[in-house]
Amino acid sequence: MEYTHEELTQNHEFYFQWHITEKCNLRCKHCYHESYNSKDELTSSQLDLAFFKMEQALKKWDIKGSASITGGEPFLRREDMFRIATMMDNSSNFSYYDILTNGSLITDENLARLATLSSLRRVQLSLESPFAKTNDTIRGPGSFENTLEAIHKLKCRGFQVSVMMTVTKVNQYDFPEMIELLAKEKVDAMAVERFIPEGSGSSICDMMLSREETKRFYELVYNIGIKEKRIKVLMHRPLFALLDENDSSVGAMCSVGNNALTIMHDGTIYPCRRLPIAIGNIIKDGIFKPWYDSNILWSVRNKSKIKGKCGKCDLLPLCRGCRAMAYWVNGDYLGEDPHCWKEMKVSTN
Amino acid sequence: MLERDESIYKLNDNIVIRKNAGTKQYWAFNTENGDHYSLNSTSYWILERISSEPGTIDDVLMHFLQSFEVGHDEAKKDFGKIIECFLMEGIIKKEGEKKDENQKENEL
Repeated sequence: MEYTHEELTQNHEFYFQWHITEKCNLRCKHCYHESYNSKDELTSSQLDLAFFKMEQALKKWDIKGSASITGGEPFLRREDMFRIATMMDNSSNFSYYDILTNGSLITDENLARLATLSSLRRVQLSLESPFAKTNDTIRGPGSFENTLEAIHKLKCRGFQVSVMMTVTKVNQYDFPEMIELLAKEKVDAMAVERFIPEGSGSSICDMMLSREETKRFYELVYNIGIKEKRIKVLMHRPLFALLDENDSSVGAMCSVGNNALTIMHDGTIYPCRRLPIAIGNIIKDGIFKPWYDSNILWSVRNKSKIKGKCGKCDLLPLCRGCRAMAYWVNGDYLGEDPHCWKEMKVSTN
Repeated sequence: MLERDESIYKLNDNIVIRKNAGTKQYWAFNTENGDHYSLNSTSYWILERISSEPGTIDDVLMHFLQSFEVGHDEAKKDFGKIIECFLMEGIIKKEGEKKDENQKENEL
């Protein structure tokens, strides 16, 4: 009668996006955070308990965990961040983790401490454009230079560095120059993510790409990304499968209810950071209760409940669209991904 | 074992049951320790019944016989095995006993 975790997941890895604080020293216009006061932030001992709950789940499911330790700006809780990272280093249940930072606090001292971490895979920074003016319009004055300096310092010390670009109408044409800049800086990987008008970003919702712009942008990323040898362009995201469903190096099923959870600064658990509907609290509920008992997760797992174009799509097992984008644009996380450009075959019967 | 069993059976507090009608998959999950069980449709039906209306095995069996075309003796034998397994795994628990009419009158 034993059931295996794999029946609910498509992968052999489970991912935690762990926002250890909501505090941040930047105020990026597109940010998914709404508040930066980090109300009811978990204490250090509660963070340890949260880590224990994650480990408990991974051990039970007998799968390896990965994590992104992030914020806010995680270096604003530096001691807790390094302690958690060290716990992951010493854990047989976690295979690796990334630290997601804006790079503003990458000091020599912090670099030396990062160098002691054995399971740190990459440090991820955000850059919105290869052009300082465009980047700083979104992330604040001086952030372009600061980020490049952080990249430079990290690469000089031999760290793997990735860059995240959140695409809006403002930077949608900057991808080719971005690749050139990052290649020059010897960045290892680059990911792109669609801007979703949530949190602080809801004030610039007109910056969201249209369906046609999304198609053009994804095609551009794909065409450059598959040929690019200097930087790994990460295309494991919904909708990329539309470009070549037979290319396993691109596209990915939306992770909601599948192989990931987001833990917020106060322990609140979200299906995904971009889908901020609370399904529990890690301190009170642990991992098992929300994972097994959330109606939201079960609705998304049930393919027959996915609506609109996504529900009828033959790529549903590969893609499923972005549930968060559906939620923020259509008000229904089971609705179709509004950016999907696939033309559905119309039955003539 | 189940002869004259007047115990009331309930789903354990930390157990949730789920089904995916599309794929005809049925599960019971322990939300405390993460134990998870794949069920067949009959086992799921029994747990769903116990969950919505705790009762004796005979109550559940009676409803089962009303819902499905199966013989009483065969169903009772299968029920016994399934209930025993659920109890052993901590999926269900006994809580109190059903009171018969005489007991109710005496209490009054």
